[in-house]
Amino acid sequence: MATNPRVAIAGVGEARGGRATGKTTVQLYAEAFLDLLADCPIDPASIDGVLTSSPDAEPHHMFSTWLVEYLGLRPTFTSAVQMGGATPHSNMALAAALVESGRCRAVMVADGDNRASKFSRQDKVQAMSSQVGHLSSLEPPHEFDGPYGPTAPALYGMMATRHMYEYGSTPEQFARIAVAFRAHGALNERAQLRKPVTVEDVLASPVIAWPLHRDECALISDWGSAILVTTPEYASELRRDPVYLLGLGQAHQGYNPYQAPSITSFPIRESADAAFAAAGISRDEVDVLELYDSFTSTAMVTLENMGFCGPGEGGAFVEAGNIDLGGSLPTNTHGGLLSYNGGHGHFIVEATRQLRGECGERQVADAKIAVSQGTAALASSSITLVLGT
Amino acid sequence: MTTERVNTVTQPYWDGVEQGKLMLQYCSACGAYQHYARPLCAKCRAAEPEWREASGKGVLYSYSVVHRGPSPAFQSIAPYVTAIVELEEGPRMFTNIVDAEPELLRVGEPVRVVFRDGPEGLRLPYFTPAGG
Repeated sequence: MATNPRVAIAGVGEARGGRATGKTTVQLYAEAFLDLLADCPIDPASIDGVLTSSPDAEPHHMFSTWLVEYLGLRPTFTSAVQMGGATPHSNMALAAALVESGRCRAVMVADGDNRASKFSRQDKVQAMSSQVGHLSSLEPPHEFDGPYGPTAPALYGMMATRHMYEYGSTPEQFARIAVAFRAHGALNERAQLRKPVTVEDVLASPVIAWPLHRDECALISDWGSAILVTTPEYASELRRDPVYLLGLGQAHQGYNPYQAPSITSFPIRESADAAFAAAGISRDEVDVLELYDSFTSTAMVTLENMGFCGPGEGGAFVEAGNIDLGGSLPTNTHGGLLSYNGGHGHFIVEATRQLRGECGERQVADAKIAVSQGTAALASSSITLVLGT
Repeated sequence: MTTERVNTVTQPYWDGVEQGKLMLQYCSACGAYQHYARPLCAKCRAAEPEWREASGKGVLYSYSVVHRGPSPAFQSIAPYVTAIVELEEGPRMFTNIVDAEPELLRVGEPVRVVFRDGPEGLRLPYFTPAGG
């Protein structure tokens, strides 16, 4: 066990999500909550903090209060946070602050959305583009990009284009990331896509926003996840193998991609440095990495910006097999957004399960340090969590 | 297309577009240009930057060729090029590259502003390769 951890994860849960389930968002949250209760024998009356996301597909006023009502909880703190793909990471940081300060003892960090069901009757790319932050709109903050038809794949496609220009990276190198994560998803019976693919397959899939192909884009899914954050003492009462939050770091520089000083170098470096320093570990001690992979370009830039390889070395790094199971830095062992599920909380759930040794065929042997990296707003927001046993 | 914009800070930008001018905010306190318009300079926090007409010249910072548009109007013109252009004055802006073969575009190439009506009917500044 690490020296003096002050925050622990006592349980995790997930809804049965994936392809369109026909479930509402709050129903997916409820499923994740029940799965959490099956994982961790906490009396729900003891949950005194409830942190949720702000659902995108079914926007809801004061969502966290509705969830509290729906689940019959009675917390002393609740909040619905909106931090894009890094929302669960942001809520983990808030939960940690609440627990460390003594303000709360047991905080549930929950996440969910029913994008696959909600968007099933329209073009999913159109729906995602118009409803998940990249609006075709004349209203702030999209007054100056909305009229030009931006989509999420286009924004991350520009990231890839710039990376190729600056470093000479190739479409094959980006595709190799999708190949790795699909290979991991193939070992995960709950993954949405399990059929292994080759670099050639990825590059033969339809172009969504050049240079990004369909198989390089996050899945559109239904999902729910729940994580119980508490003190190490209470976690030890609840289970024999709690996981500890050893360090976290955050850095935020803005929202609009065209305002970012660079679209290949982000404050990910600062948040990772802060998290590793807080945990007192070096990068080569990381056994498992779960990183936000909205697109292959996101993953490429994140690997470099986190310092696991140098700027522009991400392509060679992934081609050498480093991110594969069995490699030096097994990454997105559940399959990530590209293969497992488009949900954002699963990175932390998977990191926890890897540290508990529950991952079967995809288990990283003797995993002691797992890092979960959240990014949002291209990658202008970055939150790094270092977890350990 | 007439739009109801509730944003008095940015109105001079849109008035410029109607006149075929690309307008930027300029901070006389620190000398920085900025896009988009705000009631303060985001660099030095001085209030009320002034407005200046930009040269309309820049370079292509990055781009993507969109095959799946976000609305029927954009889907009808796909594939089209979304881009970030770095203006001569410093700020970057989001735009489309028009009158160009996407396959021939190069990051770093010079571009210049042109004004057109967009697929949703709104008059907008676009950029096109400047050659050379």
